[in-house]
Amino acid sequence: MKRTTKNILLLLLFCINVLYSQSDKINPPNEMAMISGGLYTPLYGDKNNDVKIKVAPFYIDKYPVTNAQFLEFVKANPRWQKSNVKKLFADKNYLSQWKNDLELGKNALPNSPVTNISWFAAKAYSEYYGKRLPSVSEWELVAKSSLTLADGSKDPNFIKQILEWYSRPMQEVIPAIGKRGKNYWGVYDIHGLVWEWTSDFFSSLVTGESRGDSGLERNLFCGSGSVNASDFKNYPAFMRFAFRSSLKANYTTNNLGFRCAKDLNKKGN
Amino acid sequence: MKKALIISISFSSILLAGVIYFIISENGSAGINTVQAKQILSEKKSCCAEETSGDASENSIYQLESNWKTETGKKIMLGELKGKKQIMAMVFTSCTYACPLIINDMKKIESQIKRNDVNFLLISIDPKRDTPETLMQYARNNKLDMKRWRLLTGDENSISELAAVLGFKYKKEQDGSFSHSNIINVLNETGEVAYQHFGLNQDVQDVLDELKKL
Repeated sequence: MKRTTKNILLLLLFCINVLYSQSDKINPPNEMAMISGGLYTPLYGDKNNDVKIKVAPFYIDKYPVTNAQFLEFVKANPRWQKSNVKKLFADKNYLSQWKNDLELGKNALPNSPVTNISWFAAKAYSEYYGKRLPSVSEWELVAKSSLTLADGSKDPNFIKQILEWYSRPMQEVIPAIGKRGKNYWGVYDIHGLVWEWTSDFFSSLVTGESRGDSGLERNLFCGSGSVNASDFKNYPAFMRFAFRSSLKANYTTNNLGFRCAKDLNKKGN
Repeated sequence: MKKALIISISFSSILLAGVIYFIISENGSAGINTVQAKQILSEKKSCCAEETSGDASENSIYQLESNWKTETGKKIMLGELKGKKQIMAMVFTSCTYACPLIINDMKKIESQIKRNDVNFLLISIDPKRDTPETLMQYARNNKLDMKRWRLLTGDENSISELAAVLGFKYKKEQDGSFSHSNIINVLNETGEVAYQHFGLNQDVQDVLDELKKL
């Protein structure tokens, strides 16, 4: 009798073990890639130039959020439908490629990235699904990896490919997600389809005025004594920085979409 | 008898394992399969900027449902500021260069208006260090007239949403200070941004002119 009980107990422990390890396998969440973190060198560093930001591990969506996914969101959240959204949260071009509130129409393929989306809309979507927008540091950490390297920023070909995409005119109908190779982290379309919102886009402090473009004006921005960029060869990073610094939270454009990020489970698994 | 005991123990252990599995799988996955469940759950959850009372104008920043505390520690929503015009800036109290100049400019404006439908508002971008007590001390040090001035502190999410609607740029530096834009905002009674004054040490006549129009 004793032995049998012991066996059963052992079996039970074994079961629990197996189940726990299965729960480990469930992470990262579906359609998200685990980014094990790393060091990110901001384009415009701190007051000291060679600053590196330590990025903690996080999850990021493998794909940009699609029209079909965003449609599901607005169905459940009517105040984010085209005709209901408040101007403070999205300008008049919000979802302008859609036929109407609840139909995509021919200019918005279900499986293409949703664009004409404001920061607020992207943020609301993320929060609705228990996620958040990635920070600039997180996004750039993922974006600097090429197909094979975690850091492709020193690879001239990689930089060239991105620049070629930046220089191509935007297609009227944006192609579907996932048709190009995945990068080192298993993330698709971070370059090549649309630009993406970040949670702290407002941390890019460049003035839009021409006289300010050569540097940061002390009187417009406090604390930005240093204007030296960390990597003069990384033109795409300059372009993204400039683009971000020109954005406002209710802006929408036809080449700006988003993907979500998520903190790792607090238990650390 | 023994057999019955063994059977019941093994049965209950299987049941227990099942329950544990159910709990783990519910908590552990955030995949497409549980999206619907998550939707139901999160319908109750409010997010960044819920609809406020219907009369708020489409452009009013008072639509932000963020939570703040005043210098006296009182909880406040931005919508409660409705009714008076506000001269407002985002600052942090340990700032040594720009913020004192901004507050100086705001005081200049204060000294040149006689009307009493204009209040002054400082919103901290440094939630860690700017507690209500710190703000109160700051107000005292700067001899702010507390009949007209309010100082607010909020969480990072509230600050980023407000910064985002104002086009206010800021970035935390490694040394704990902030780089930030220098903007004095003029809000009308309903919380719309009527005017923005950029930069430091410039003539504030533009702000006074704008106030006259309101």
